[in-house]
Amino acid sequence: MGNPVKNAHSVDVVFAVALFALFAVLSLMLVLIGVRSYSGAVERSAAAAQTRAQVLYLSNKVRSADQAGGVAVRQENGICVLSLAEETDGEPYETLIYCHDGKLMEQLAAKGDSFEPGNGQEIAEAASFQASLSQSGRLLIQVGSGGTVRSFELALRSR
Amino acid sequence: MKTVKSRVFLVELILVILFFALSTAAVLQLFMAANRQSERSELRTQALVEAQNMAERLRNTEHPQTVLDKEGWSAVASGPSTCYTRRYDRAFQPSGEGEIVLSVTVEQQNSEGGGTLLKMKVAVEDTADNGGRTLCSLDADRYLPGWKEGAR
Repeated sequence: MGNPVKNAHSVDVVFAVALFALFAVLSLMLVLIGVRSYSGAVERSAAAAQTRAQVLYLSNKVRSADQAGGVAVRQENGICVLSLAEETDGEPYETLIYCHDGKLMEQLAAKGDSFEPGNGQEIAEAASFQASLSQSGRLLIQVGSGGTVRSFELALRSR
Repeated sequence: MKTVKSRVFLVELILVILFFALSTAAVLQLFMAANRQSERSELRTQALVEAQNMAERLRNTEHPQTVLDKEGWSAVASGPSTCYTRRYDRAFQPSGEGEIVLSVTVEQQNSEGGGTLLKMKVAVEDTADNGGRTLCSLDADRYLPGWKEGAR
């Protein structure tokens, strides 16, 4: 027969170790839940920021250039380009918005200059960019990123 | 002596776990609140984009109410104004059972100049949030010269 005192001590030790193991497992679970919650919040925040950059920024740019003949859509070397005209010191310039190498780009150039897609400034991530302008002044813009295409439309006041 | 020491250790461990359980409950509530805020923020951004889209469409349409009727929006007349609604799911895809409601309230006012002022309000509401929370609201008034009420 075993020593009852020794058996009692073994149970004590096992119980203490089991309790400690439970504590360790629960701590780990809490950390994992926190990581998942935080990464989800960061992803949603990044997606919202991208939406704001693509949609609201583009809307504001078009609105600021909304004058007679100020907004046009054309194709340059197979790339759809949204052109916003402006005049600085009597010289005509245009802001070109297009998609290049997975990025939505913006480029300020003198009117009539040759189009170089790589010279632009990055605005946001975008896999595709399409724009169309109707006679009635309806500008439809479609920006694709992350497997989804977000489209929005603007009614030009100048038409 | 050893028995006393091990029992003291056990009691200490239990107290530690008790404290851990209490703080876990508090921290998990914070995580859930943070998640909810993050989801609400994303929804609000999408709602703003959709409301802006709708306002621009109404601006660009010859007769907004005719277009809304043709597209099958649910219309409820209330006094001088008519409220058109359409339901969307949380991904803002049209859905008959959706929790997101996009509404366009149109009120016509004939003006002395011979035209009609359409006072339109575009609103997006989340019906699943506390019984109904307005995510965003835009005014999209439009003056139609030479167009009289009833002449759709």
